[in-house]
Amino acid sequence: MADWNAASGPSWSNGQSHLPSPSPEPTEDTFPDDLDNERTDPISQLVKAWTIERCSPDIMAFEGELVGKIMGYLDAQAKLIGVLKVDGASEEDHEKIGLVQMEMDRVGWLLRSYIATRQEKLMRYTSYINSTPAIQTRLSVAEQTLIESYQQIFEESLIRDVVGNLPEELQALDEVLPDGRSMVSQPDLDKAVFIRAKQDCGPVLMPDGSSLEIKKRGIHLISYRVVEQLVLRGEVELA
Amino acid sequence: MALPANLMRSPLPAELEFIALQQTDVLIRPHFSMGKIRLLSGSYGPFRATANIEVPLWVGKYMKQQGKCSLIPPVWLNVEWLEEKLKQEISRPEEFAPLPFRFAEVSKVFLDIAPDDVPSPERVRSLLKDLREVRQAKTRKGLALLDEMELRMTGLGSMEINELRPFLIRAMGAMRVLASEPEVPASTADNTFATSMDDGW
Repeated sequence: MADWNAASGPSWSNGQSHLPSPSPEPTEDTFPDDLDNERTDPISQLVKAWTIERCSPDIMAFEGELVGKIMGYLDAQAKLIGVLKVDGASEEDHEKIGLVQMEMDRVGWLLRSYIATRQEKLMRYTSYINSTPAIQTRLSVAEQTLIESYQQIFEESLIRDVVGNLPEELQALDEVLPDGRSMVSQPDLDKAVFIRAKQDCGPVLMPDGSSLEIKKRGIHLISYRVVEQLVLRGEVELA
Repeated sequence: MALPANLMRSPLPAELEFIALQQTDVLIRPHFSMGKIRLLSGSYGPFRATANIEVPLWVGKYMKQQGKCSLIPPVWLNVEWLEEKLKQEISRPEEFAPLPFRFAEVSKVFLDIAPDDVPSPERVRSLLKDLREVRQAKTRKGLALLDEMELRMTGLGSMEINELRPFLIRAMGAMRVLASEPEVPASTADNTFATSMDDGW
């Protein structure tokens, strides 16, 4: 195990506001950051979900409730804009409409990117997911429908164009080679990820039996499997 | 559409900037007045000319670009603070000086859209560049410590992590494979080699 920093690492002390005072006091190392003042609004939650999905090798549970809530908000904001425009907007209203529209665009981008990230994983691991009920519970209904029909189309085409022309003993699509390699690809949970600890975490058990202390603000490159529970509990974030 | 494979490996710098704009707050000094506005990420305002107010960085950027406010740089984005950190970065070769996690993204936004709100922007820019170079040198040295288990890199910023990510994750994967392979006893290996040499030649 390697320790990049010799000392116990920098510590930024807590503060009251997450914004530093406007007059610069360059003497101190101590300024608060996002970890001292975590945002809980729905958009920040979506950012969190996006980051985890993007950085984790696994397929995470779909944030259906959150996505539904945000879609509802987007509808409401769109209606509000419609009303404001019909009523003949004042200059101040124009200003507000601009901001609201900008935010809707930003949130729309985040949602699309979040869903596209999941889709990439779903299509890469289709046949693994279809044969693993535990993973299927993490998918939305639309996603389940997607991978069912995707696998069907994919296999039909594979059999028609390639596999069907091979000798029968070579036609399996889910063969496992003697060395353990499988035709069905599945997420590599041992893959390394970057974590940033949101709080002091207890000692973490490493694969070789040693234990690792993870301190608040600690940044580690580490196997996803080792920290999976910490990620799911939200004690560390993926970076 | 599924996300393109190259984006799956690592987020783009532009995407990290998007996240920083969303998740960072900034003090602005409005040049106008406007009532309270309710956005999905929270309610802001009322805005009054010359009364500083805290908003998400993307709101500040939007207003700044319309000439409706000035941005007030965070406490760490100035010559004195950065000079101090550069000194610290050089005098403590074993650790990264503590910079805000998204310092690269936030300072880029400020220097891109509001250089007139940052005192001595050129000096700030060059200090940020110096800091980056000292930290990169440390990163390169630190690579020697990489093993298949874990690497502690406390103090790195999100953009720095992103730069290292594709290489380090692959490298650690390769080391894991090497570590898990059963070691071939040296004598056997030598014999095999010798035999094949005899056969072949």
